[in-house]
Amino acid sequence: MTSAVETVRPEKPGAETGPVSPPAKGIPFYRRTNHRLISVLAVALFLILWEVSGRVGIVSPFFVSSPSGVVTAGIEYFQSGLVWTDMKISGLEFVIGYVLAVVVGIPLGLAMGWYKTLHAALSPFVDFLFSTPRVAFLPLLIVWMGVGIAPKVALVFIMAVLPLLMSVISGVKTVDKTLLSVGKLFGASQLTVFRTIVLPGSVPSIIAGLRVAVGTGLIGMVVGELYASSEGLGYRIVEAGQLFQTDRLFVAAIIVAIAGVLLSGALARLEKRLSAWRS
Amino acid sequence: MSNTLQIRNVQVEYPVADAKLFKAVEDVSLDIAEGEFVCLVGTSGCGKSTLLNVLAGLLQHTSGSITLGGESLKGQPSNRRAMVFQSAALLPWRRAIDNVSYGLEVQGVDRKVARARAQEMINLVGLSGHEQKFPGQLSGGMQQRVNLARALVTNPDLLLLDEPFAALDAQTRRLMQEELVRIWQERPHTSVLVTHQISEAVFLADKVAVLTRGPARVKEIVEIDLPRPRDPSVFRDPKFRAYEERIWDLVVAEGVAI
Repeated sequence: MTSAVETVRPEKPGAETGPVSPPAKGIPFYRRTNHRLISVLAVALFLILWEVSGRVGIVSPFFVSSPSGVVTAGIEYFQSGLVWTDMKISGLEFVIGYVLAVVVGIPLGLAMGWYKTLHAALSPFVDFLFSTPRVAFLPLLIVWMGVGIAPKVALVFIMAVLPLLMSVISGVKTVDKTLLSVGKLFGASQLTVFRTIVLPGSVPSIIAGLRVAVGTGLIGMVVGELYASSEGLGYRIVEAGQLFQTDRLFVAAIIVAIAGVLLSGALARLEKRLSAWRS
Repeated sequence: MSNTLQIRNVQVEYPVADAKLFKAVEDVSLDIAEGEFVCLVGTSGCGKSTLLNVLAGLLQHTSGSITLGGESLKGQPSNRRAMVFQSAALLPWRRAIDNVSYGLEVQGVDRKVARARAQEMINLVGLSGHEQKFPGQLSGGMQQRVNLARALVTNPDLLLLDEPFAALDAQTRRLMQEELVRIWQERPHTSVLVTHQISEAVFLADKVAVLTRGPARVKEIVEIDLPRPRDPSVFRDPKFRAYEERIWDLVVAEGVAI
Protein backbone atom coordinates (compact mmCIF):
# COMPACT_ATOMS: atom_id res chain seq x y z
CA MET A 1 0.00 0.00 0.00
CA THR A 2 2.76 2.42 0.88
CA SER A 3 4.50 1.72 -2.39
CA ALA A 4 1.30 2.48 -4.30
CA VAL A 5 1.05 5.85 -2.57
CA GLU A 6 4.65 6.60 -3.40
CA THR A 7 4.23 5.88 -7.06
CA VAL A 8 1.08 7.91 -7.57
CA ARG A 9 2.11 10.90 -5.50
CA PRO A 10 5.63 12.12 -6.07
CA GLU A 11 5.70 15.21 -3.83
CA LYS A 12 7.65 17.49 -6.11
CA PRO A 13 6.73 17.01 -9.73
CA GLY A 14 9.71 18.94 -11.02
CA ALA A 15 12.26 17.21 -8.84
CA GLU A 16 12.73 13.97 -10.74
CA THR A 17 11.70 15.21 -14.14
CA GLY A 18 13.72 18.37 -14.41
CA PRO A 19 14.36 19.92 -17.79
CA VAL A 20 17.96 18.71 -17.74
CA SER A 21 17.08 15.00 -17.60
CA PRO A 22 18.49 13.34 -20.72
CA PRO A 23 15.82 12.67 -23.34
CA ALA A 24 14.91 9.00 -23.39
CA LYS A 25 14.86 7.79 -26.96
CA GLY A 26 11.53 6.91 -28.51
CA ILE A 27 9.36 7.92 -25.55
CA PRO A 28 7.41 11.13 -26.19
CA PHE A 29 7.90 13.82 -23.52
CA TYR A 30 4.26 13.68 -22.32
CA ARG A 31 4.75 10.05 -21.28
CA ARG A 32 7.93 10.77 -19.37
CA THR A 33 6.42 13.62 -17.38
CA ASN A 34 3.87 13.25 -14.66
CA HIS A 35 0.31 14.41 -15.05
CA ARG A 36 0.31 17.07 -12.37
CA LEU A 37 3.10 18.88 -14.16
CA ILE A 38 1.13 18.73 -17.39
CA SER A 39 -1.88 20.30 -15.62
CA VAL A 40 0.27 23.12 -14.28
CA LEU A 41 1.79 23.72 -17.69
CA ALA A 42 -1.61 23.77 -19.36
CA VAL A 43 -2.87 26.44 -16.95
CA ALA A 44 0.31 28.47 -17.39
CA LEU A 45 0.00 28.28 -21.17
CA PHE A 46 -3.63 29.37 -20.97
CA LEU A 47 -2.72 32.40 -18.82
CA ILE A 48 0.08 33.38 -21.16
CA LEU A 49 -2.16 33.12 -24.23
CA TRP A 50 -4.82 35.13 -22.45
CA GLU A 51 -2.37 37.90 -21.57
CA VAL A 52 -0.66 37.95 -24.96
CA SER A 53 -3.86 37.89 -27.01
CA GLY A 54 -5.02 41.04 -25.23
CA ARG A 55 -1.70 42.84 -25.60
CA VAL A 56 -1.21 42.13 -29.29
CA GLY A 57 -4.81 43.10 -29.94
CA ILE A 58 -6.31 39.80 -31.07
CA VAL A 59 -9.17 40.39 -28.64
CA SER A 60 -10.02 43.51 -26.73
CA PRO A 61 -9.14 43.47 -23.01
CA PHE A 62 -12.27 45.55 -22.60
CA PHE A 63 -14.29 42.36 -23.04
CA VAL A 64 -12.06 39.60 -21.71
CA SER A 65 -9.72 41.49 -19.38
CA SER A 66 -6.29 39.93 -18.87
CA PRO A 67 -4.47 38.08 -16.09
CA SER A 68 -2.47 41.17 -15.17
CA GLY A 69 -5.65 43.28 -15.22
CA VAL A 70 -7.38 40.79 -12.94
CA VAL A 71 -4.44 40.81 -10.53
CA THR A 72 -4.42 44.61 -10.41
CA ALA A 73 -8.18 44.73 -9.84
CA GLY A 74 -7.80 42.07 -7.17
CA ILE A 75 -5.20 44.09 -5.30
CA GLU A 76 -7.45 47.16 -5.42
CA TYR A 77 -10.41 45.14 -4.26
CA PHE A 78 -8.47 43.86 -1.28
CA GLN A 79 -6.94 47.25 -0.43
CA SER A 80 -10.32 48.97 -0.51
CA GLY A 81 -11.48 46.54 2.18
CA LEU A 82 -14.69 45.98 0.22
CA VAL A 83 -13.70 42.37 -0.32
CA TRP A 84 -14.07 41.59 3.39
CA THR A 85 -17.62 42.89 3.69
CA ASP A 86 -18.57 41.08 0.47
CA MET A 87 -17.01 37.82 1.61
CA LYS A 88 -18.57 38.17 5.04
CA ILE A 89 -22.09 38.67 3.74
CA SER A 90 -21.82 36.03 0.99
CA GLY A 91 -20.09 33.61 3.33
CA LEU A 92 -22.81 34.08 5.92
CA GLU A 93 -25.54 33.41 3.35
CA PHE A 94 -23.78 30.33 2.10
CA VAL A 95 -22.87 28.88 5.50
CA ILE A 96 -26.34 29.31 7.01
CA GLY A 97 -28.06 27.98 3.89
CA TYR A 98 -25.67 25.06 3.52
CA VAL A 99 -25.76 24.07 7.18
CA LEU A 100 -29.57 24.13 7.08
CA ALA A 101 -29.44 21.96 3.96
CA VAL A 102 -27.20 19.46 5.74
CA VAL A 103 -29.27 19.45 8.92
CA VAL A 104 -32.47 18.88 6.95
CA GLY A 105 -31.14 16.94 3.95
CA ILE A 106 -29.24 14.13 5.63
CA PRO A 107 -31.85 13.06 8.22
CA LEU A 108 -34.74 13.54 5.80
CA GLY A 109 -32.88 11.66 3.06
CA LEU A 110 -32.10 8.78 5.41
CA ALA A 111 -35.72 8.64 6.56
CA MET A 112 -37.07 8.80 3.00
CA GLY A 113 -34.72 6.07 1.89
CA TRP A 114 -35.67 3.84 4.81
CA TYR A 115 -39.43 4.38 5.18
CA LYS A 116 -41.33 3.59 1.99
CA THR A 117 -44.47 5.40 3.16
CA LEU A 118 -42.59 8.63 3.83
CA HIS A 119 -40.90 8.28 0.45
CA ALA A 120 -44.24 7.83 -1.27
CA ALA A 121 -45.62 10.93 0.47
CA LEU A 122 -42.69 13.26 -0.19
CA SER A 123 -41.11 12.06 -3.42
CA PRO A 124 -43.54 13.95 -5.72
CA PHE A 125 -42.43 17.21 -4.12
CA VAL A 126 -38.77 16.27 -4.10
CA ASP A 127 -38.84 15.11 -7.72
CA PHE A 128 -40.66 18.25 -8.77
CA LEU A 129 -38.22 20.57 -7.01
CA PHE A 130 -35.24 18.57 -8.20
CA SER A 131 -36.30 18.87 -11.83
CA THR A 132 -37.19 22.58 -11.60
CA PRO A 133 -34.60 25.29 -12.24
CA ARG A 134 -34.78 26.27 -8.59
CA VAL A 135 -33.26 29.73 -9.05
CA ALA A 136 -36.60 30.62 -10.63
CA PHE A 137 -38.03 30.75 -7.12
CA LEU A 138 -35.89 33.74 -6.15
CA PRO A 139 -38.52 36.40 -6.94
CA LEU A 140 -41.02 34.42 -4.90
CA LEU A 141 -38.57 34.16 -2.00
CA ILE A 142 -38.08 37.92 -2.13
CA VAL A 143 -41.84 38.44 -2.05
CA TRP A 144 -41.98 36.24 1.03
CA MET A 145 -38.90 37.36 2.88
CA GLY A 146 -37.97 40.84 1.70
CA VAL A 147 -34.66 42.03 0.38
CA GLY A 148 -32.36 41.16 3.28
CA ILE A 149 -30.21 38.12 3.78
CA ALA A 150 -33.15 35.74 4.31
CA PRO A 151 -34.14 35.08 0.66
CA LYS A 152 -30.47 34.48 -0.24
CA VAL A 153 -30.11 31.98 2.58
CA ALA A 154 -33.31 30.33 1.44
CA LEU A 155 -32.06 30.08 -2.14
CA VAL A 156 -28.75 28.55 -1.03
CA PHE A 157 -30.79 26.11 1.04
CA ILE A 158 -33.12 24.93 -1.73
CA MET A 159 -30.26 24.81 -4.22
CA ALA A 160 -28.15 22.66 -1.87
CA VAL A 161 -30.73 20.50 -0.16
CA LEU A 162 -32.21 18.79 -3.21
CA PRO A 163 -29.13 17.16 -4.71
CA LEU A 164 -28.10 16.18 -1.18
CA LEU A 165 -31.52 14.62 -0.54
CA MET A 166 -31.48 12.70 -3.81
CA SER A 167 -28.01 11.37 -3.13
CA VAL A 168 -28.77 10.28 0.44
CA ILE A 169 -32.04 8.60 -0.58
CA SER A 170 -30.36 6.60 -3.31
CA GLY A 171 -27.52 5.76 -0.92
CA VAL A 172 -29.95 4.17 1.52
CA LYS A 173 -31.94 2.45 -1.20
CA THR A 174 -28.94 0.89 -2.88
CA VAL A 175 -27.49 -0.72 0.24
CA ASP A 176 -26.96 -4.40 -0.62
CA LYS A 177 -30.08 -6.36 0.37
CA THR A 178 -28.01 -9.38 1.37
CA LEU A 179 -26.24 -7.23 3.95
CA LEU A 180 -29.63 -6.33 5.41
CA SER A 181 -30.42 -10.06 5.67
CA VAL A 182 -27.17 -10.56 7.56
CA GLY A 183 -28.32 -8.13 10.23
CA LYS A 184 -31.82 -9.59 10.29
CA LEU A 185 -30.47 -13.15 10.61
CA PHE A 186 -28.52 -12.26 13.72
CA GLY A 187 -31.75 -10.97 15.21
CA ALA A 188 -30.81 -7.29 14.89
CA SER A 189 -33.62 -4.80 15.46
CA GLN A 190 -34.59 -2.43 12.66
CA LEU A 191 -32.73 0.33 14.46
CA THR A 192 -29.58 -1.78 14.77
CA VAL A 193 -29.74 -2.77 11.11
CA PHE A 194 -30.06 0.90 10.26
CA ARG A 195 -27.20 1.97 12.53
CA THR A 196 -24.75 -0.80 11.68
CA ILE A 197 -25.49 -1.45 8.00
CA VAL A 198 -27.57 1.25 6.31
CA LEU A 199 -25.81 4.27 7.79
CA PRO A 200 -22.20 3.19 7.15
CA GLY A 201 -23.25 1.86 3.75
CA SER A 202 -24.66 5.27 2.82
CA VAL A 203 -21.61 7.31 3.80
CA PRO A 204 -20.10 7.45 0.29
CA SER A 205 -23.42 8.70 -1.15
CA ILE A 206 -23.83 11.22 1.67
CA ILE A 207 -20.42 12.69 0.99
CA ALA A 208 -20.98 12.70 -2.77
CA GLY A 209 -24.22 14.59 -2.09
CA LEU A 210 -22.44 17.08 0.17
CA ARG A 211 -19.94 17.79 -2.59
CA VAL A 212 -22.60 18.40 -5.22
CA ALA A 213 -24.44 20.60 -2.72
CA VAL A 214 -21.37 22.85 -2.35
CA GLY A 215 -21.51 23.62 -6.05
CA THR A 216 -25.26 24.15 -6.24
CA GLY A 217 -25.26 26.12 -2.97
CA LEU A 218 -22.66 28.51 -4.36
CA ILE A 219 -24.82 29.00 -7.45
CA GLY A 220 -27.68 29.87 -5.10
CA MET A 221 -25.47 32.33 -3.25
CA VAL A 222 -24.35 34.17 -6.39
CA VAL A 223 -27.74 34.17 -8.09
CA GLY A 224 -29.42 35.30 -4.86
CA GLU A 225 -27.31 38.45 -4.93
CA LEU A 226 -27.91 39.24 -8.59
CA TYR A 227 -31.31 40.58 -7.64
CA ALA A 228 -32.32 43.11 -4.99
CA SER A 229 -28.91 43.28 -3.32
CA SER A 230 -26.35 45.87 -2.39
CA GLU A 231 -23.38 43.79 -1.31
CA GLY A 232 -21.81 40.37 -1.58
CA LEU A 233 -19.68 38.62 -4.19
CA GLY A 234 -22.65 37.99 -6.48
CA TYR A 235 -23.67 41.64 -6.26
CA ARG A 236 -20.08 42.64 -7.06
CA ILE A 237 -20.23 40.49 -10.19
CA VAL A 238 -23.41 42.20 -11.41
CA GLU A 239 -22.12 45.63 -10.55
CA ALA A 240 -18.81 45.05 -12.37
CA GLY A 241 -20.69 43.66 -15.37
CA GLN A 242 -22.98 46.66 -15.59
CA LEU A 243 -19.95 48.96 -15.48
CA PHE A 244 -18.05 46.85 -18.04
CA GLN A 245 -15.31 46.28 -15.47
CA THR A 246 -14.53 42.78 -16.63
CA ASP A 247 -11.38 42.50 -14.51
CA ARG A 248 -13.34 43.16 -11.30
CA LEU A 249 -15.97 40.70 -12.45
CA PHE A 250 -13.32 38.03 -12.81
CA VAL A 251 -11.88 38.75 -9.35
CA ALA A 252 -15.22 38.12 -7.63
CA ALA A 253 -15.94 35.04 -9.76
CA ILE A 254 -12.51 33.60 -9.00
CA ILE A 255 -13.01 34.08 -5.25
CA VAL A 256 -16.26 32.08 -5.48
CA ALA A 257 -14.52 29.40 -7.54
CA ILE A 258 -11.67 29.12 -5.04
CA ALA A 259 -14.17 28.74 -2.18
CA GLY A 260 -15.87 25.93 -4.10
CA VAL A 261 -12.62 24.14 -4.85
CA LEU A 262 -11.44 24.38 -1.23
CA LEU A 263 -14.73 23.12 0.22
CA SER A 264 -14.96 20.31 -2.27
CA GLY A 265 -11.35 19.36 -1.59
CA ALA A 266 -11.98 19.29 2.17
CA LEU A 267 -14.94 16.94 1.60
CA ALA A 268 -12.80 14.76 -0.65
CA ARG A 269 -10.29 14.41 2.18
CA LEU A 270 -13.09 13.57 4.61
CA GLU A 271 -14.33 10.94 2.18
CA LYS A 272 -10.87 9.42 1.96
CA ARG A 273 -10.70 9.18 5.74
CA LEU A 274 -14.17 7.70 6.11
CA SER A 275 -13.76 5.16 3.36
CA ALA A 276 -10.32 3.74 3.99
CA TRP A 277 -11.93 0.35 3.37
CA ARG A 278 -12.38 1.12 -0.32
CA SER A 279 -8.85 0.19 -1.21
CA MET B 1 -31.46 -35.65 20.88
CA SER B 2 -32.32 -32.26 22.29
CA ASN B 3 -31.65 -30.20 19.20
CA THR B 4 -33.17 -32.33 16.48
CA LEU B 5 -34.47 -30.30 13.57
CA GLN B 6 -37.87 -31.58 12.51
CA ILE B 7 -39.33 -30.40 9.25
CA ARG B 8 -42.91 -31.63 8.90
CA ASN B 9 -45.02 -31.23 5.75
CA VAL B 10 -43.65 -27.81 5.07
CA GLN B 11 -45.22 -25.92 2.22
CA VAL B 12 -44.08 -22.54 1.00
CA GLU B 13 -46.04 -20.27 -1.28
CA TYR B 14 -45.40 -16.69 -2.05
CA PRO B 15 -47.35 -14.09 -3.97
CA VAL B 16 -46.25 -13.27 -7.49
CA ALA B 17 -47.82 -10.97 -10.07
CA ASP B 18 -51.59 -10.95 -10.67
CA ALA B 19 -52.36 -11.91 -7.06
CA LYS B 20 -51.33 -15.48 -7.82
CA LEU B 21 -49.41 -17.65 -5.46
CA PHE B 22 -46.26 -19.41 -6.51
CA LYS B 23 -45.70 -22.71 -4.79
CA ALA B 24 -41.97 -23.16 -4.28
CA VAL B 25 -42.06 -25.98 -1.75
CA GLU B 26 -44.82 -28.55 -1.97
CA ASP B 27 -44.45 -30.83 1.00
CA VAL B 28 -41.10 -31.38 2.66
CA SER B 29 -40.52 -33.54 5.69
CA LEU B 30 -37.04 -34.13 6.97
CA ASP B 31 -35.44 -35.02 10.28
CA ILE B 32 -31.97 -33.82 11.05
CA ALA B 33 -30.34 -35.07 14.21
CA GLU B 34 -28.20 -32.87 16.42
CA GLY B 35 -24.72 -32.60 14.98
CA GLU B 36 -25.75 -34.02 11.64
CA PHE B 37 -24.67 -32.53 8.31
CA VAL B 38 -27.37 -32.63 5.63
CA CYS B 39 -27.03 -31.47 2.04
CA LEU B 40 -29.96 -30.51 -0.14
CA VAL B 41 -29.53 -31.15 -3.84
CA GLY B 42 -31.93 -30.84 -6.73
CA THR B 43 -32.30 -29.27 -10.12
CA SER B 44 -31.99 -25.51 -10.47
CA GLY B 45 -35.08 -23.68 -9.31
CA CYS B 46 -36.48 -26.64 -7.40
CA GLY B 47 -36.94 -24.62 -4.22
CA LYS B 48 -33.95 -25.70 -2.16
CA SER B 49 -32.78 -22.17 -1.49
CA THR B 50 -36.34 -21.20 -0.61
CA LEU B 51 -36.41 -23.99 1.92
CA LEU B 52 -33.13 -22.78 3.38
CA ASN B 53 -34.44 -19.23 3.67
CA VAL B 54 -37.48 -20.59 5.49
CA LEU B 55 -35.21 -22.46 7.89
CA ALA B 56 -33.32 -19.19 8.41
CA GLY B 57 -36.53 -17.31 9.17
CA LEU B 58 -36.10 -14.95 6.24
CA LEU B 59 -39.19 -16.43 4.57
CA GLN B 60 -42.33 -17.86 6.17
CA HIS B 61 -43.75 -21.27 5.35
CA THR B 62 -47.46 -21.37 4.64
CA SER B 63 -48.18 -24.69 6.31
CA GLY B 64 -46.46 -27.49 8.15
CA SER B 65 -44.11 -27.09 11.06
CA ILE B 66 -40.42 -26.64 11.70
CA THR B 67 -39.11 -27.30 15.18
CA LEU B 68 -35.61 -27.23 16.56
CA GLY B 69 -35.35 -29.19 19.79
CA GLY B 70 -39.14 -29.08 20.05
CA GLU B 71 -39.33 -25.30 19.74
CA SER B 72 -41.07 -23.84 16.72
CA LEU B 73 -38.85 -21.92 14.33
CA LYS B 74 -41.67 -19.99 12.77
CA GLY B 75 -41.37 -16.23 12.92
CA GLN B 76 -38.46 -13.88 13.10
CA PRO B 77 -34.86 -15.02 12.77
CA SER B 78 -33.22 -15.73 16.07
CA ASN B 79 -29.72 -16.17 17.31
CA ARG B 80 -30.20 -19.94 17.34
CA ARG B 81 -29.56 -19.97 13.61
CA ALA B 82 -26.77 -18.62 11.47
CA MET B 83 -26.28 -18.56 7.74
CA VAL B 84 -23.33 -18.64 5.39
CA PHE B 85 -24.29 -16.76 2.25
CA GLN B 86 -23.33 -17.56 -1.30
CA SER B 87 -21.94 -14.08 -1.83
CA ALA B 88 -19.74 -13.48 1.17
CA ALA B 89 -22.02 -10.58 2.17
CA LEU B 90 -19.37 -9.05 4.41
CA LEU B 91 -19.75 -5.48 5.63
CA PRO B 92 -17.07 -3.85 3.45
CA TRP B 93 -16.29 -1.08 5.96
CA ARG B 94 -15.52 -3.50 8.78
CA ARG B 95 -12.22 -5.27 9.16
CA ALA B 96 -12.24 -9.07 8.98
CA ILE B 97 -12.33 -9.48 12.74
CA ASP B 98 -15.12 -6.91 13.16
CA ASN B 99 -17.16 -8.73 10.55
CA VAL B 100 -16.73 -11.93 12.53
CA SER B 101 -17.77 -10.30 15.79
CA TYR B 102 -20.78 -8.59 14.17
CA GLY B 103 -23.34 -11.17 15.29
CA LEU B 104 -22.11 -11.05 18.87
CA GLU B 105 -22.22 -7.25 18.90
CA VAL B 106 -25.79 -7.29 17.66
CA GLN B 107 -26.68 -9.74 20.38
CA GLY B 108 -25.20 -7.42 22.98
CA VAL B 109 -22.19 -9.51 23.95
CA ASP B 110 -19.50 -7.53 25.78
CA ARG B 111 -17.04 -6.03 23.29
CA LYS B 112 -13.96 -7.63 24.77
CA VAL B 113 -15.56 -11.06 24.96
CA ALA B 114 -16.82 -10.66 21.39
CA ARG B 115 -13.33 -9.76 20.17
CA ALA B 116 -11.73 -12.72 21.90
CA ARG B 117 -14.28 -15.13 20.46
CA ALA B 118 -13.94 -13.58 17.02
CA GLN B 119 -10.17 -14.00 17.19
CA GLU B 120 -10.64 -17.62 18.13
CA MET B 121 -12.86 -18.15 15.06
CA ILE B 122 -10.41 -16.28 12.83
CA ASN B 123 -7.74 -18.73 13.96
CA LEU B 124 -10.07 -21.69 13.45
CA VAL B 125 -10.79 -20.77 9.83
CA GLY B 126 -7.09 -20.18 9.18
CA LEU B 127 -7.08 -16.40 8.83
CA SER B 128 -4.60 -15.49 11.56
CA GLY B 129 -2.64 -12.47 10.41
CA HIS B 130 -5.46 -11.21 8.20
CA GLU B 131 -7.85 -10.06 10.93
CA GLN B 132 -7.16 -6.36 10.36
CA LYS B 133 -7.80 -6.49 6.61
CA PHE B 134 -10.91 -5.12 4.96
CA PRO B 135 -12.99 -7.54 2.85
CA GLY B 136 -11.84 -5.75 -0.30
CA GLN B 137 -8.29 -6.80 0.53
CA LEU B 138 -9.17 -10.48 0.87
CA SER B 139 -9.43 -13.11 -1.87
CA GLY B 140 -12.75 -14.82 -2.58
CA GLY B 141 -11.76 -17.89 -0.58
CA MET B 142 -10.65 -15.78 2.39
CA GLN B 143 -13.90 -13.83 2.28
CA GLN B 144 -15.82 -17.09 2.51
CA ARG B 145 -13.69 -18.08 5.51
CA VAL B 146 -14.73 -14.83 7.21
CA ASN B 147 -18.33 -15.54 6.21
CA LEU B 148 -18.09 -18.98 7.83
CA ALA B 149 -16.37 -17.63 10.94
CA ARG B 150 -19.07 -14.99 11.32
CA ALA B 151 -21.73 -17.69 11.29
CA LEU B 152 -19.89 -19.99 13.70
CA VAL B 153 -18.98 -17.34 16.26
CA THR B 154 -22.47 -17.22 17.75
CA ASN B 155 -22.32 -21.01 18.19
CA PRO B 156 -25.70 -21.52 16.53
CA ASP B 157 -27.89 -24.56 17.10
CA LEU B 158 -28.46 -24.67 13.37
CA LEU B 159 -25.93 -23.71 10.71
CA LEU B 160 -27.31 -22.96 7.25
CA LEU B 161 -25.08 -22.75 4.18
CA ASP B 162 -26.47 -21.48 0.89
CA GLU B 163 -24.13 -22.68 -1.89
CA PRO B 164 -21.23 -21.18 0.02
CA PHE B 165 -18.55 -22.08 -2.52
CA ALA B 166 -20.49 -21.63 -5.76
CA ALA B 167 -18.75 -18.39 -6.63
CA LEU B 168 -15.23 -19.74 -6.14
CA ASP B 169 -12.94 -21.17 -8.77
CA ALA B 170 -12.63 -24.96 -8.90
CA GLN B 171 -9.35 -25.21 -7.01
CA THR B 172 -10.31 -22.82 -4.24
CA ARG B 173 -13.65 -24.56 -4.02
CA ARG B 174 -12.07 -27.95 -3.44
CA LEU B 175 -9.73 -26.52 -0.80
CA MET B 176 -12.62 -24.80 0.95
CA GLN B 177 -14.61 -28.03 1.00
CA GLU B 178 -11.71 -29.74 2.72
CA GLU B 179 -11.45 -26.79 5.12
CA LEU B 180 -15.16 -26.96 5.89
CA VAL B 181 -14.90 -30.66 6.72
CA ARG B 182 -11.95 -29.99 9.02
CA ILE B 183 -13.66 -27.04 10.75
CA TRP B 184 -16.98 -28.82 11.06
CA GLN B 185 -15.33 -31.89 12.55
CA GLU B 186 -13.66 -29.63 15.11
CA ARG B 187 -16.95 -27.88 15.89
CA PRO B 188 -19.84 -30.11 14.84
CA HIS B 189 -23.01 -28.08 14.30
CA THR B 190 -26.32 -29.29 13.01
CA SER B 191 -25.94 -28.12 9.44
CA VAL B 192 -27.98 -27.81 6.27
CA LEU B 193 -26.12 -26.98 3.08
CA VAL B 194 -27.60 -26.31 -0.33
CA THR B 195 -25.42 -27.17 -3.31
CA HIS B 196 -25.46 -27.92 -7.00
CA GLN B 197 -22.27 -29.92 -6.87
CA ILE B 198 -22.96 -33.55 -6.05
CA SER B 199 -19.39 -34.42 -5.11
CA GLU B 200 -19.51 -31.56 -2.62
CA ALA B 201 -22.69 -32.96 -1.12
CA VAL B 202 -21.26 -36.49 -0.81
CA PHE B 203 -17.99 -35.24 0.64
CA LEU B 204 -19.58 -33.04 3.29
CA ALA B 205 -22.81 -34.77 4.26
CA ASP B 206 -24.05 -37.46 6.58
CA LYS B 207 -27.28 -37.41 4.58
CA VAL B 208 -28.09 -36.05 1.16
CA ALA B 209 -31.71 -35.09 0.55
CA VAL B 210 -32.54 -35.14 -3.14
CA LEU B 211 -35.45 -32.84 -3.90
CA THR B 212 -37.89 -33.21 -6.76
CA ARG B 213 -38.14 -30.67 -9.49
CA GLY B 214 -40.09 -27.70 -8.05
CA PRO B 215 -42.30 -27.37 -6.19
CA ALA B 216 -39.98 -29.28 -3.93
CA ARG B 217 -40.68 -32.55 -2.21
CA VAL B 218 -38.10 -34.92 -0.79
CA LYS B 219 -37.53 -37.51 -3.49
CA GLU B 220 -35.05 -39.59 -1.61
CA ILE B 221 -32.69 -39.40 1.31
CA VAL B 222 -29.30 -40.95 0.68
CA GLU B 223 -27.34 -41.83 3.81
CA ILE B 224 -23.66 -41.28 3.17
CA ASP B 225 -21.84 -44.08 4.92
CA LEU B 226 -18.30 -42.81 4.62
CA PRO B 227 -15.89 -42.74 7.56
CA ARG B 228 -15.73 -39.84 10.00
CA PRO B 229 -13.50 -37.99 10.58
CA ARG B 230 -13.37 -37.57 6.86
CA ASP B 231 -10.45 -36.35 4.81
CA PRO B 232 -9.77 -35.84 1.10
CA SER B 233 -8.80 -39.49 0.68
CA VAL B 234 -12.52 -40.38 0.53
CA PHE B 235 -12.62 -38.77 -2.92
CA ARG B 236 -10.77 -41.91 -4.08
CA ASP B 237 -13.06 -44.31 -2.20
CA PRO B 238 -15.06 -46.44 -4.69
CA LYS B 239 -18.10 -45.95 -2.44
CA PHE B 240 -17.74 -42.19 -2.97
CA ARG B 241 -18.06 -42.64 -6.73
CA ALA B 242 -21.04 -44.92 -6.26
CA TYR B 243 -22.87 -42.34 -4.11
CA GLU B 244 -22.11 -39.66 -6.62
CA GLU B 245 -23.52 -41.73 -9.50
CA ARG B 246 -26.60 -42.68 -7.57
CA ILE B 247 -27.44 -39.12 -6.58
CA TRP B 248 -26.73 -37.88 -10.09
CA ASP B 249 -29.17 -40.44 -11.47
CA LEU B 250 -31.81 -39.28 -9.00
CA VAL B 251 -31.31 -35.63 -9.95
CA VAL B 252 -31.26 -36.31 -13.68
CA ALA B 253 -34.41 -38.41 -13.43
CA GLU B 254 -36.18 -35.20 -12.40
CA GLY B 255 -35.15 -33.61 -15.67
CA VAL B 256 -32.28 -31.17 -15.75
CA ALA B 257 -32.94 -27.78 -17.18
CA ILE B 258 -30.28 -26.76 -19.65
